[in-house]
Parts: sequence; structure tokens; C-alpha cells
Amino acid sequence: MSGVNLTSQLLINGLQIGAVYVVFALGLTLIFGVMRIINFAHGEFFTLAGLSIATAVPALAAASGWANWICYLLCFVLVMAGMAIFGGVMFKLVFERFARDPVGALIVSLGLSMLLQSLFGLGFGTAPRKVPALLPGITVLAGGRISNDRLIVFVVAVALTAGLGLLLKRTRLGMALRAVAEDREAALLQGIDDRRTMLAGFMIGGLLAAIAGGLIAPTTVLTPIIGADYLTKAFIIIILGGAGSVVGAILGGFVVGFIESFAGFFFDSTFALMLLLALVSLVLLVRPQGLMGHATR
Amino acid sequence: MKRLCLLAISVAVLLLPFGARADVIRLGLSGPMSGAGASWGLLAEWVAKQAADDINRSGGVKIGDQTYTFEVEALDNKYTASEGAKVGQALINRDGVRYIVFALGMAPVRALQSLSEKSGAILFTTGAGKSIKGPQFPFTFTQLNTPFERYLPLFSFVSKENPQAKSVVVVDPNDATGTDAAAVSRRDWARVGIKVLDANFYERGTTEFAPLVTRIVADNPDIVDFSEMPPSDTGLILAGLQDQGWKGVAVWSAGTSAADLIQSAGSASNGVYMALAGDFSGAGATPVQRRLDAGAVVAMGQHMNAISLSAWDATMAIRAAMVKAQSVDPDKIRQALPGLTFESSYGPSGFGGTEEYGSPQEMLLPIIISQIKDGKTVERARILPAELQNRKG
Amino acid sequence: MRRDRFADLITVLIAAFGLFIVMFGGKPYLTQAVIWTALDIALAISLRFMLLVGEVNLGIGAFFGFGAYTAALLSLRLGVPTPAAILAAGAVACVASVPFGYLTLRVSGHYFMLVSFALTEIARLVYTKSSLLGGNSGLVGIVPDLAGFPYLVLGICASVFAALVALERSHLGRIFAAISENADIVRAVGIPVAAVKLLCLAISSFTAGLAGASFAFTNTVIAPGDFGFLLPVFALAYVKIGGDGHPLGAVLGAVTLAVLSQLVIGLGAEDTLLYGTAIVLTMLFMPRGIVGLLLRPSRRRPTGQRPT
Repeated sequence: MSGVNLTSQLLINGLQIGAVYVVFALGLTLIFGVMRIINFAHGEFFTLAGLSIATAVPALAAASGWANWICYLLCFVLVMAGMAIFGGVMFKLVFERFARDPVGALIVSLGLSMLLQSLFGLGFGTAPRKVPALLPGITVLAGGRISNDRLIVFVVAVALTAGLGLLLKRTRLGMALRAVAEDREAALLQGIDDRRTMLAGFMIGGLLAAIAGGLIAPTTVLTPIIGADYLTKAFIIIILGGAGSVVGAILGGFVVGFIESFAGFFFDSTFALMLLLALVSLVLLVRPQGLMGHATR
Repeated sequence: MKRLCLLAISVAVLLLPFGARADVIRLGLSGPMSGAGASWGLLAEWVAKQAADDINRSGGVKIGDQTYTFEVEALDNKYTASEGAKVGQALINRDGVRYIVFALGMAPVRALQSLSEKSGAILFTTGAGKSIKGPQFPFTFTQLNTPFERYLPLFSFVSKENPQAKSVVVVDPNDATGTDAAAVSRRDWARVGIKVLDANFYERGTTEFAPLVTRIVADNPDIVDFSEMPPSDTGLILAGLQDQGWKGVAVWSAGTSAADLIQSAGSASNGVYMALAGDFSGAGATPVQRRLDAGAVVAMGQHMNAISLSAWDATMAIRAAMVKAQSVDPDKIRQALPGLTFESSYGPSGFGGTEEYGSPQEMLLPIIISQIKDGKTVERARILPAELQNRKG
Repeated sequence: MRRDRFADLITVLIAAFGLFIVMFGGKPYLTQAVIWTALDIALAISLRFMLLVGEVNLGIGAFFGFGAYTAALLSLRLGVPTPAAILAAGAVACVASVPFGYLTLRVSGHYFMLVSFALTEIARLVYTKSSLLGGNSGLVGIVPDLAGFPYLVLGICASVFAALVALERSHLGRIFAAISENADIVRAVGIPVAAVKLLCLAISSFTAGLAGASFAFTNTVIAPGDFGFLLPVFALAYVKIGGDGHPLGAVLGAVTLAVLSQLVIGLGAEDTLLYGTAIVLTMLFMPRGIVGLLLRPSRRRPTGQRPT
């Protein structure tokens, strides 16, 4: 391999893959934290945001003649605002009554996922879509190469994660989220409105998935079913890291990214997936609460 | 009690004879209409409808003093064997379809085939390989150039034009089509004297290709063969290869849509060789193909591709066979097809492949070798199968 | 109790109706439709059996698949007669479930759900890599070697159904219900909860294996894609939409979705839209399912719900 340091490349691959997974998984784990449910339709937030941006940006660019990245920024903000509203609506209409009912939430979110995927196919069509590259070209880091758009994704993901951490530690909302996640009865006793907190948690969680979808739009091709692959990875991540744990989602996200990178290089992606699933099974047996989770039931 | 009544009504609906008018011939399609591959299936359905409309408008098919018109029924096989079995039952047993003009997806097609052969229904499929046709499947025909037809001419062409290229890495999806095609790739690259360094498989639905790209780059092949991969996956890997510094020749035997490839690969798509693409809107296309392409863009939002187009050719072949045999009996049709010359969308065509498969069940279509240059599909060579050439005389 | 008897009666009537269609319906398509529905019912009732101990076993896809591949291999490679192959397949699925259950039933609730999901996915990936199992192409030509095979399938499904319902109503079934309500108390009384749960899993895997084997002979072609994650999802849908308060629910759920999908089939692609909508609407407005509407049970809480 001329001019490329293999180890650096593999590490970079792992980091860039992990970054998206982390943002996506953070959303899932946040929702689990406040509502104790696993949202199987989480991938559809990702897909909807990605498809919307991938449709809107070329249309806007064609209509207005503005530069690609300007259109992208505008559409990004608009779509995310829309996704926040979408999250709120989904919570009120569907998810609120299944708080703390993991089986019911599983089933309704599975149904919702199928329903939404079909609607996306009907609405957006099944042809793959992509946003043209924002910043064409690559950057060389320590002998490994990363495309500029992917680098942007990584930087934004890190910033977002830091922002979420600050939110959780320093703001009232963040403390309410953590309180409800830790001990709902105690939080109620403290006067925290758990309905509103769950709503906020769900919306933020969905928004994180949406942001992941929007971030990835310039780097990959989007189809109505793209959420499924990410969802599987997100399950793996929150199991490894501990459902409900933010730090766990970050660690888990990068662990999965690195395993995918290295196992995908030395063997193939099927093997990487089997390895991840086996690892997950092992963790579930030995330490079911994950690396960072609390030993609750 | 209400429930029982509802149930009874529903079953009664099932028991109703499904509108089988004597002078209407139903053409069936089994393909993916949702999920991955849906764009092929949905477009094929549209193409079949165009073919049926064309034939009906020109007076239908006259056999003796009975005139028949065509109707299209397309069902979603979801790329799985169990859905394929359900589609087969619905088409053949429930709706009495005896002509299937398009069947895509190895697993569902095999499920369908076990029923179509037993019931004596004509089956046209895009499926490749010797396990799907031959003398033991007398009612099955293929409607597309398969790896067995495409690879050797393409590889020879590429090799001659790039004599410095000596090694290749093959990439395919991890499914039946992919694994079968990779075997043919290995065989045919060896035949033109190029060394196959590796064959890589990936799960359909993968979105992160960086590890695979790094693996390919590490092998440092002169050629990367994208074999039977779908357009967007091919494009993403190509773009990734360019990002990670690979320079070489890209070959995409199943390349059907340059537009989709360019969307995901950008400038990395320059120079890619394809063997299944036509630029169906350009000068190399026939008037029929240009009309279909324009219609597809308007109706379905996508350009024509060779896979979906094959539904047209299958329909035309069946019509011609009916006229020649002066019958709509599938058994007579299947005997008429092998010796037939009919007007496909590419021009005159027939059936052959006895040497490879044991009986003439492969539609003889020109192998179009094209290349992407600056975002456009440029036809480089059009190779008529030897059998077709001999027939034209 | 009277309501339960009424539901039992309806179940028997539906079964008789199905048999009637197969015997006298004439059109082979109808026979096939009834067979597929019967297999769906067998799958659903197997899944429901584990719901009785409060576990959502998404791994049922794997055990169904083990049954299918075992029967296929026995029949294709060793020429084992069809009924024996099906029985053996059930046994294999049952035996395979024991080590899995031993290791995983210790973690319960949503963790068991996730690890059982992982099992189904791992199994599917392994099938694609295994040349013995035909890899991605799967296995073809799995033809039953006896006439009247549809009757055998109906018989198997009916027996599975009857057996599971009988168990549910036995003393064992009461222990299951007790475990689902409060496992700690059951443990305190001296009953080995883990062993009982394992027994439940083994039984439900055996029946799932029988269903999978019958499925293989019914379709004659199997491939890894048939045994993925969607399989347990559909089974769960049948149970929930039909209602998990009474075994009739598994029947109604499977039949309703089968009929609905037939009605929709002309519309083309969209039965995922149909299933998805049906599931969401049921969960929102009919959480006890169709059976709940019919019976309006007072005591029976839908299984699987934890007290908040």
C-alpha cells in the first residue's frame, strides 16, 4: 500500500464509523434511560432526517443557485426543527403510554418502524439519494486518509457529545433527565415532572438520531431502509456500554467502530457482525448491565 | 359471532374465481417491490405494462379467430424464498397465470420455479447459473445476459485495453447471486491471464464500507471487479477507493445504471467498464429503448436499466411464440421459443446457449460493453453472441 | 370461565373450517393458504407459550430455522421419511434450546429479549456462511414423501396447539403464570424457577422446530432470508393483534393478518405497511387484541406486562 500507514488507516476507519454510531446510540440510550424502553423505530428518525435532507438540498440548490454547503446548512436546521416536532408528536401519540412497558414498547415500535419504512418508500421513492459532497477531497492524518466530509462528521459528533454531556451535568433539564433515569420515584418526590422530562428525553433522543442521519447524508447513499443496519449496531452498543449510560454509549460506539474496522479488514463484514453479536451475547451473560451500567433490573 | 361472519366473508372473497376471462392473458412478475432492489422490480412492472399496452393497442394477439389481450400482475417476492413461494402460489394457483415475464432473486425464483415447472407455466427469469435452467427445467428461460455470457467478453476487452493490468480483486454481495458470480469471475479472469488476488463478500444493507476499502487497497490490485454489485454500493466503494489512494481499472459487469453510480461515486466513476448498461437514452439505443427510457424518467423517476428492460423482451418473445405456434398453450410455446427469431428491444433476437446449459433457453442479446466518461455512458463495443450472428447469416 | 369455553369453541370451529377447506375446497391455492396460516398459528402459539413465563423469546426464529434445516438435511441427504424428519427436527431444536436457555434465562426482561434477538441473527448469518446448509442459496427440492402431506401438517399444527393449551391449563401452566407475576415468591416457595423457565423454553422450541420442519416441506425451498428477525416479529404481531389473553388470540391474529394480506396483495408492495399499521393500531386502541374485544376478560392481564 503506497504511502498509507495501515494502522493509522484502520484507526481512522474505526473512529469515523464509531462517531456516527455514538451519536445515534446516544439517542437510543437516552430514551431508554428516561423511559426504560427500547425504541425499535429509532432508525426511522435517522432515515427520515437523512432522506429529507438528501431530497431538500439538491432541490434548494437547483432552485436558488446557492452553494451546496449553504443549502445544506439551511436545510439541516429546518429539518432538525421538523424532526424535534416529529419526536414530540410520536411521543404523545404513541410512546407515552408505553413508558416502563418494554414489551409493549417493543411491539408498537416494531409496528411503527414497518409502517414508517413503507411510508418513506412511498413518499421518497426507493431510488437511493445522496447529498453531493460538502467539502470534496481528503485529509491525511498520521499516514491515514479520511474524506473531508467524514472528518466534519467526526468533529461535529465529538462536539455534540460534549454538548450533551454539558446538558446533562449542568442544566436543570439535564439533572431532571438523570434523576428520572436513576430513580423515578425519588425524582417524583423531588417534584420533577416525569411526563415532561420523558417528553424532553424522547425528543432529544430522536433528535440525536436525526442529526446522525443528517450528518451522514453527504457521505453515503440513503434509502428508506437504511435505519435498520444502524439500529442493530445501536443495540449492540447500548448492550455493551450499558443501556441508559451516556459514557457507555460513547465507549460502546467506538468499540463497535473499531471491531468493525479491524474485523472487516482482516476478514469481512459478515464475520465482524457475527463477532459483535457473539460479544454482545457474552456481555449479556457475564455482565448484563454492560460496561458502565448500574446493576438494576 | 361478528368475527366469524367477517372471517367467512373474507374466505368467500378468496374462493371467488379471480376474474379469469378467456380472452385475457395474464403476464406475471415476481420481483422485489419493497426494500432493496425495489427500483428494479417496480420499473420492471412498469415496463411489462408498457409492453402489454403496446401489444393491446396494435390489436392484441390473433390466434385463429380469437383475439387475446395482455394484462400484467406483479407481486412482491421480497427477495426471500418464503415470499417467493407465496408469490408463486398466488400467481400460478390462485390467479391462473401461465406466463411469467420477469422473476428476480435466486431464492424466490427457485421457489416459484418448483411450482411453475410442475404446473407447466412459462417462466422468464433474470437468474443466472446452471442450477436454474437446462433440460430438466423445460419451461424456464432467461431474459438477460448472465455472468456466463458477459464476463469473458468484458474481461477480454478490458485486458486488451489495459495490458499493464495483471491482478484483480473481486467484490460481491453475500448472497446467492454474488457467490455464484464470484465463481464465474475467478474462472474467467484466469482465462484471460489475470491473477485473482481475492474475492470479498459483504452483507447487503452494509453502509460503512471503509474497512472493505482498506482491505482492497492493501491488496493493491490493478483491477477491481465489482461483479454483480448494486449501483450505490459500487459507487460508495469506488469513492472510498479514490479517497484511500487507489488508482486502477474498475470493472462493473452488472453495471446497469451509470446515473446511480455517478451519484454515489462522483468523479471516481470515470473510466468504469460495464457490461449490462446501455445508455438507453443515447445514440446507441434503439428507438424502442429511448422511448421506454424517456417514459421511465417521467413515470418512475429513474432511467431505464437492462434488468427491468428484460421484461419487455420476455413479453415480446412470448407474443412472437404465440403467433408462430398459433396457440396460447404454454407447452406449445415452450417448444416454439427455442427456434424463434423475434424483435427484442435491442433488435432481432433468439434463444441459444445449448453448449453451456444443455438446451437453448438463454435469450441471445448483444453484450454491450460501455464505459463511463465524464459522467456519460459511452458504448465501446457491442458483441453479438456467436449463435445470434450465425442465425443472422 | 364461560367466556373461555366460548373462545375454545370458536377455536375448534375455525380449525374445523380450515380442515373443511383443505378437504373440499378444490383450489390448491386455498389449501396452501390454510397450511401457511396453520404454520403461522403454530409459530404464534409457541411464542405465546413463552410469554406465559413473561419472556419474549425473539430467538424463536432460530429454533424454527433449526427445525427447517434439520428436516431438510435429513430428508435430502439421508432420505429420512418425512414424518420422522419432522419429529427429529423438533427434537434437535429442543435440544439446541437447552444450553441457550441455561445460559441466558438468568438474565430476564429486556436483556433476554435482546440476547434472543442476537441468536436469531447469528443463526441467520451462520446459515449464509455454511456450505452444508447451502449458504445463501439455501436448500431446494425438499419434497414430502407421502401423499396427503397437507393433512399431516394440519395434524401437527393442531396437536401442537392442543398440547400447548393443555399444558397452559395444567398445574405447570399455573406455575408459569405465578413466575410471570412474581418470580421471587415462587422461588421462595421452593420451586426451581430457572429450571421451569428452561422447560418452558424447551417445549416451545420443540414445537417451533416442528413448525419449521413442516414449513420446509411445504415450501420445498428454504434460504437464510426466511429465518431472520422478521419471523419472530410477525409471530409477536399475530399474538398481540389476536390478543394474548387466550390461545384463540394466536389463531385470530394469524388468520386476520393472513386474510388482510390477501386482500392487500393486489395493491402490490405494501404489506409491511399493512402489518405495521395493524400492529400500531392494535397496540394503541386494542391492547388486549381481538380476543380482548370478544371476551372482555376481567382477571387476565395481558402477559408480559410488568407492574410499573
